[in-house]
Amino acid sequence: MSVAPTAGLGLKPQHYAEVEGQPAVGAQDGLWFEVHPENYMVAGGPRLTWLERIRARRPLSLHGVGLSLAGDERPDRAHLARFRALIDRFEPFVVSEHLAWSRRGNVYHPDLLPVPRSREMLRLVCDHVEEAQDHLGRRLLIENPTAYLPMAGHEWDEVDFLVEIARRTGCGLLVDVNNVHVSAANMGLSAEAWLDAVPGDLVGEIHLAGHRPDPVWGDSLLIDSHDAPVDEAVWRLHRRLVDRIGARPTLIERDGQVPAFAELLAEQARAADALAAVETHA
Amino acid sequence: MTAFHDAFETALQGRFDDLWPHLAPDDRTLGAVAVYRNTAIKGRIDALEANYPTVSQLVGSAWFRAAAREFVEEQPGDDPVLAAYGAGFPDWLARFEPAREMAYLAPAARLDRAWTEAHLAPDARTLNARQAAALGLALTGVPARLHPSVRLFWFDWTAPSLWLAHRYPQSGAELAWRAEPEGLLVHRPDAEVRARRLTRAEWVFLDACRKGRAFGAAALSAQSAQPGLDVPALFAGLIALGVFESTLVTSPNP
Repeated sequence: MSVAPTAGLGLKPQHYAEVEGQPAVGAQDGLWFEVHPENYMVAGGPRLTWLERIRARRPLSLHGVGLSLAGDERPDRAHLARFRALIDRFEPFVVSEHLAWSRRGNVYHPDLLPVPRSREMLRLVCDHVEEAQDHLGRRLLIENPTAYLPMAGHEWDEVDFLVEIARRTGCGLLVDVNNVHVSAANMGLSAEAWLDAVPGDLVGEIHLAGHRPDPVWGDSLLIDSHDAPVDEAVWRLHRRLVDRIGARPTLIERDGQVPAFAELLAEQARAADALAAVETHA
Repeated sequence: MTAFHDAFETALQGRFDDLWPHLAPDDRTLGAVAVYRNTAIKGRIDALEANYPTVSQLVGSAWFRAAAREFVEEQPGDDPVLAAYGAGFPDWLARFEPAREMAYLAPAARLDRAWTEAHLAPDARTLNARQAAALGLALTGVPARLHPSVRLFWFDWTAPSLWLAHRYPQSGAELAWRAEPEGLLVHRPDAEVRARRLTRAEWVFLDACRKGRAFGAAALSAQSAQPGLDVPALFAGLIALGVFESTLVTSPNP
């Protein structure tokens, strides 16, 4: 029954019924699902029941958006406790968060906010990652953010900064290939160089998603919109990464303009094929 | 506290001066700051509209989102759990000047909020007829305990019908707004949130239960609200709805 996770999908509530209708094994061997734990931090009710049923059929990943690891306040204890309860209940095969902040002074910003890659921020992020890993009882994978703003205070390249965080805290990395592509386009850097530099042994998961040009700035400012199919350029970058480091659980993310489940499954199958091709090579 | 986080947070509120020294600005910088600002605001407005669908239907999405923009700046929220966002919206809406003419709007928001609370409430077993029968007369002395998802309302106007007609169109409720008292029960005895009009006697009975009175005392209250009331029938009906929690009712010794 247990097949190693290959390509996964972000689980949307409108697809619960279809997911449940899927055979547990068969056509999509290796299919897994990822959810934001924040959507399941509720006392009871159908959300948790749905997730239990889906977890009974498929491996699950918890991908947090609310820990605010790059914030200047320590991770919220109550939030960590709720996160831990979900980990204990649903036994995810991987737990991840972002190199970003979203909470400050009793305000939650529903966004993934950036920081300069400075010594000061490195110390803060490492303290918070360690504290989170201690409370959650799990190694975290940290995802590279999308860059929109050129900042003055960077002392590291992004990939080196992430590797340093991993070296100091023992965390792993979640490489969002779409974010690498979008950030490189926005900052005038090379996505290929970024991906070629990331140490394969740190990478525990990969994200793929769609993006769009900003309505005002066009192609000079790409937005990580998660509301479109994965771009061909991002598929090529994914192939380049897994050809070098080997197959990794790869997620298709779609949060806006969510299409029919079958359409997402087609993208998932394409990712699974890419991973299978790598395995055959290896 | 870092100077960068301070400056960025100020920029999210629309004042960019402090952030400038932290950036290597180019011609797109203002646009890029706007991406963050817009994402955060849109995230909150989307969450609020998802949690108040009846209000949005009543005023239209454009009006709702314009009003929501003012609300989310006043009460941005402190919790990443957006499914529960906007607890203060019904009270805010009741004070919101442009909504003054629409007296049904704040009550509709209260009922949307009740739906959300029932949806997210803890799971609990409901008292069934067999358990109640097993207790026999002893039941009258047992303090009533409502299922944790139960939300009860009594309005002087037909807010329950108006809300039901939008949120539960299959209920056949009348799309009406007039000065006529109506009660409503919103609860989730199992997987789905349900909503149903309450008679005055049912409301009085459940209101007494909500206050922790014993079943017997709740029955007396209901009877004085409606002399000649068939209390056993009312009680059986409420049990069948699944509004009572069973945990406090221990089985009698064998």
